[in-house]
Amino acid sequence: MTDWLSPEEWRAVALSLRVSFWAVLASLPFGIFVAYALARWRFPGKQVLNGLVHLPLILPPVVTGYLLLLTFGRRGWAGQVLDEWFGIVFAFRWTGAALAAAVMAFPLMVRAIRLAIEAVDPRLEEAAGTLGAPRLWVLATVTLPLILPGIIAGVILAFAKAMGEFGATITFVSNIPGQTQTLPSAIYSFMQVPGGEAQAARLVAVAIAIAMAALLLSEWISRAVARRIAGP
Amino acid sequence: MRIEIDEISKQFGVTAALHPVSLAIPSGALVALLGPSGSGKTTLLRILGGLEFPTSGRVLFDGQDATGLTVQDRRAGFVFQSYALFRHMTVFDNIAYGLAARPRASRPPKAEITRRVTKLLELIQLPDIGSRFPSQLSGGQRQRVALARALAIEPRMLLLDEPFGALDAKVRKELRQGLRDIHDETGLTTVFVTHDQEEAMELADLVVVMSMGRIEQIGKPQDIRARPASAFVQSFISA
Ligand SMILES: Nc1ncnc2c1ncn2[C@@H]1O[C@H](COP(=O)(O)OP(=O)(O)O)[C@@H](O)[C@H]1O
Ligand SMILES: [Mg+2]
Repeated sequence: MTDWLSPEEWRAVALSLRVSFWAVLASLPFGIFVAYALARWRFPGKQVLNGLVHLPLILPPVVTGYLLLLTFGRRGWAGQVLDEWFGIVFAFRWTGAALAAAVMAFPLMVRAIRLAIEAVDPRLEEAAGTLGAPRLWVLATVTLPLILPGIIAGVILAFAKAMGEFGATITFVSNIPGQTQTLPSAIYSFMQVPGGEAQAARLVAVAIAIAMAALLLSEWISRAVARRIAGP
Repeated sequence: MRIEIDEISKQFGVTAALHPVSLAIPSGALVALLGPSGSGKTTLLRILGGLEFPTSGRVLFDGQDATGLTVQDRRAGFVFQSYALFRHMTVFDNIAYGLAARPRASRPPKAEITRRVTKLLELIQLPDIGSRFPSQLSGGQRQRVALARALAIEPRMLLLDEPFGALDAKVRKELRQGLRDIHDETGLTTVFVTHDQEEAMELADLVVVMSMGRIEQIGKPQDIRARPASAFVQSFISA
């Protein structure tokens, strides 16, 4: 079952899955927090935060990648701090690819979750408060269960976006086979060499299959969850 | 519990929802906040419940300043206008919510929670609906479940925003009596909001007539009928 893709192709597919998985998982708590803040709180600088979150959606991905390199690269201020304090390095590592994917997918994730939060009647949370429930308990027992379909939609959307991210990733962490060569970068590389079309085509097929699977899965999960939340 | 509202005002940006208002509610009273839409009834009720904080003035519970008390610490049973039941939970879990949300040290054991919820379901005369979801209930049943959920925390007072607003005439009459009975049985100081003067006059011991963020008159129903304090009250109660 493994021999219809070469080891090199497998590495790209596996790396893309790993990068996207961690990009989504690590950004999800921030995504929920930012979505909640944008949906429910009033604070100075809210429009600035909203703009920042959405920036990767409108900037050319190359620009986002370049900014990531400036900030999180070896000589970037955040890159140095993270390296010295936590030993986390992004430059030319798969972690950098995950960071780029997370940043690019973040607006989609936040948007889906924010819409779900806005659809929850704030009086439900207020009611829980009058019954004595602390805010975190309210979040866990009222808000999160009610927005679960939105979170799932956001996660799948972000995952799909992360799988397809190319421009920011290649700018930030380059295209090193086995290190930072994700599925899209691999397709791009194969297309640059004579006779690589067959390899590229196989990876394109894999990309399509993964996208379809993600779509079907999200459809199935959100139906199941919607049924559970609405009651029988 | 005795409630005092001392020169409370509330400003939403440029709109004054409440001009300084004062009101003393004796312990165990059943009070109606009566007035047309936009007169500040809900705002006053939410300030009592700790869901909104006044721009100026104080709230006193049994003589103690409660103005800054958080919503969790007020222990005010609050029934929302549209009931705000948790649609992803059964009726049982809705009613048990306040007990289950307590910190471990003060949370009653499971059997005790079950016992109390069962008792409350009997009190609202719906003993068999514990396993249903809110979407499977009629409007009147939802209102009673919301009431039971508020009572479950053994509140110090009961606050209800238009509790009969969304119901048809026959159910309204039944539930009015239901609220009266529960009030008499629990002895809780109860404040409810209504724009229906007949409802206020029939149900309340004390009626507070409000208009445009001010209190126009406070009195027993018969006194307000006999001696309306202003032209507004006169026209509103004869409407
Ligand atoms: N959260 C809010 N933000 C801005 N204005 C509000 C808010 N709540 C109430 N108001 C305003 O305060 C006034 C009184 O409202 P409310 O207390 O809801 O009246 P009532 O319950 O008597 O209909 C209205 O003019 C209303 O528009
Ligand atoms: Mg109102």
